[in-house]
Amino acid sequence: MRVDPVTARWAQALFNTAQRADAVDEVERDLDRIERGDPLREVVAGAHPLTRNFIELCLLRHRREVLEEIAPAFHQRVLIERGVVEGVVEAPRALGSSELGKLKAALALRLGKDVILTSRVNEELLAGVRILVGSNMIDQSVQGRLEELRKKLEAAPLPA
Amino acid sequence: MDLRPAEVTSILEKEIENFGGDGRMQSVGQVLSVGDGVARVYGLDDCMMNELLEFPEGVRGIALNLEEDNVGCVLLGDAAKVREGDTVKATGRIISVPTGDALLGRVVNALGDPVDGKGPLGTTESDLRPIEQPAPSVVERQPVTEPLQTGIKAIDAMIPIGRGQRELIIGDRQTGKTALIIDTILSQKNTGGGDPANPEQVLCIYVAVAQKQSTVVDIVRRLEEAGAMRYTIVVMASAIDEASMQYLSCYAGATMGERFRDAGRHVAIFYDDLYKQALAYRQVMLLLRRPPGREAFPGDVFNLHSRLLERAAKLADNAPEINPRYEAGGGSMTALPVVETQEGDVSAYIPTNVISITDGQIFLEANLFNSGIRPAVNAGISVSRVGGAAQIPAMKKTAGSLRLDLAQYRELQAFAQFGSDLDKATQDKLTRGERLVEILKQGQYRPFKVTDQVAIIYAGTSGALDDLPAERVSEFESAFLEYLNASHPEVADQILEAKKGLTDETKAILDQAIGTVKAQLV
Repeated sequence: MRVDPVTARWAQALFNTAQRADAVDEVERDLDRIERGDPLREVVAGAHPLTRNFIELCLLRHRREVLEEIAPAFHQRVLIERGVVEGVVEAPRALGSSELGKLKAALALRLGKDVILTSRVNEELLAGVRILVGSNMIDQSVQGRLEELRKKLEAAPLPA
Repeated sequence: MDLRPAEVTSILEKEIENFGGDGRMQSVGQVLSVGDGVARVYGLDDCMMNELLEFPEGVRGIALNLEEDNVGCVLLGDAAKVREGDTVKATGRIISVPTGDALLGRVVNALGDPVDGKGPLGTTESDLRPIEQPAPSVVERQPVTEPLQTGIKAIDAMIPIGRGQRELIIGDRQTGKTALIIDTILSQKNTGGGDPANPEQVLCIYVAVAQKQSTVVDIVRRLEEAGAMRYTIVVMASAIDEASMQYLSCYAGATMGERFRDAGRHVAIFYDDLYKQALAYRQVMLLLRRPPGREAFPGDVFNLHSRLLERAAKLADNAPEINPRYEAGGGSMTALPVVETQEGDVSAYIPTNVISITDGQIFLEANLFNSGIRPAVNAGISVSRVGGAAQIPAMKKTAGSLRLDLAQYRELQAFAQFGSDLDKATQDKLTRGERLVEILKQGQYRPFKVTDQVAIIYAGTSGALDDLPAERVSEFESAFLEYLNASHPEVADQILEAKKGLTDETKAILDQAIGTVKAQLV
């Protein structure tokens, strides 16, 4: 997920203040409501004072785009603080919770960080799994293997 | 592409055996934007400079700009196949090209893929070498001492090129720059009989940057007809190829040459031409938004050429002891880059850069070319800063006065045009100069052996031709060389072995031969 550098700075500032006020979770909840598309007026009405200040400042500075992108940016910042990474695991069928748990444990061991895995069904993979964590990918799907095989066959040296 | 079923089976067998997979973690990214042959990619953590990237549908790219939150890369293929959001895989490999004997006689593109329709190269993974390699260091080199015979009288006599030297060929369009290269390649046949397996054979690499494909086809056909393709590699990035391929082709060629150089062989590499390469580089860099400098070239355009030409070298005999990268010592790579000038302007940005990098330049002039002096070498401003040490002694002594005689001739020629009465000494100088100019003329695709060159230049500088009409000099030349090679074959060896110029014995034979042939002509 790519975060605009301007939004990243706003997110950092909001995170710092929220941390000092010990209100990180409340602020994150408020921001999620913005992300969901709740009307701003309602969000402001029920929000933590910090979130309210943040929204007003954004509007005063004509930074609507920051407001639109702040939730994922803030979320990322929170994840870094907690030492957690998010990842997606794709499989041709829905994975059971025990399977997900095993994958999580294996990844945590390999990356040295806790992993939040979301599962996604992708029938094109045929079989196996493909895991994406940040900009790293582990491709153990049949589709990926077939693709590799195709490349190998194309590059195979031929007897003259 | 046709595959044999047996081949497929063996590949499949290997696949089945290893299907467990390594679970390797790959660095991937997403295409943010693509256009004009460059793409910006988000992600790709740990991406390396010049790393080869894989886009969908077999399109490849090279990472050139590593920025804070994205990677700028050039695409080496059909950019239309790449779309926003596509997944890009890092290969963990710096861009490399195949090298080795299998490439001799072939025409390949900047990535080393064959483009001559003669099938795959048959090289293996172990033949791959990165296209950017550091040049040999000071201790790994030795001074240039052996001649690289171009077979062109005007060059070998006055602007000698040594093995390991970098000599620029510069001139306007249509002044015979490429012709000079082809003659030089043809002339290398004299070093090892055109047999690439002969260690004496100088191998040639011709890098065609942004040339018309028809031109390259013509050159390859010429070389094939003369049996010169056997020891030559043609690296082609023609005018329709991507700008990135055009600028990378020179480095690819250099890498192919270095493989031979490091194995103790002698290589001559021709970059035709570096001006177009700089234009291609400028295009790529502007698209990647690097700041433009003079003439909108990026700031590192000097380094672009200097790091390329620095790879030409004469290796020390004990190079393998210093650096295990070298298989054998004593190999050389001679670079002959070409720069095209506009209206003879050598003080433009790229020409001055390359002039300052190289060890001399051969200046080809349109005026000379049009007045029938071909090769149109301007002896006055052409120089070779190191090649003199590499001339054979006989040539050095015989041709020593040539440059001066010609310079005096040019100066007096201007006076003579006024038609005033000239004293005897002046007239003599004019007569001599005219004959020398005639001697240095040479037909295309007719490189001369160095021994023949010495013989005919001796005839000119000794004054033996002064009483022959200038227009009959070329007639004399062919008759004289034919007679000499037929009646006195020993002269060739005497010339090659002479330690301090021609011996009196050789001179006597030559004088006698000149007299005989002259008598036949009159």
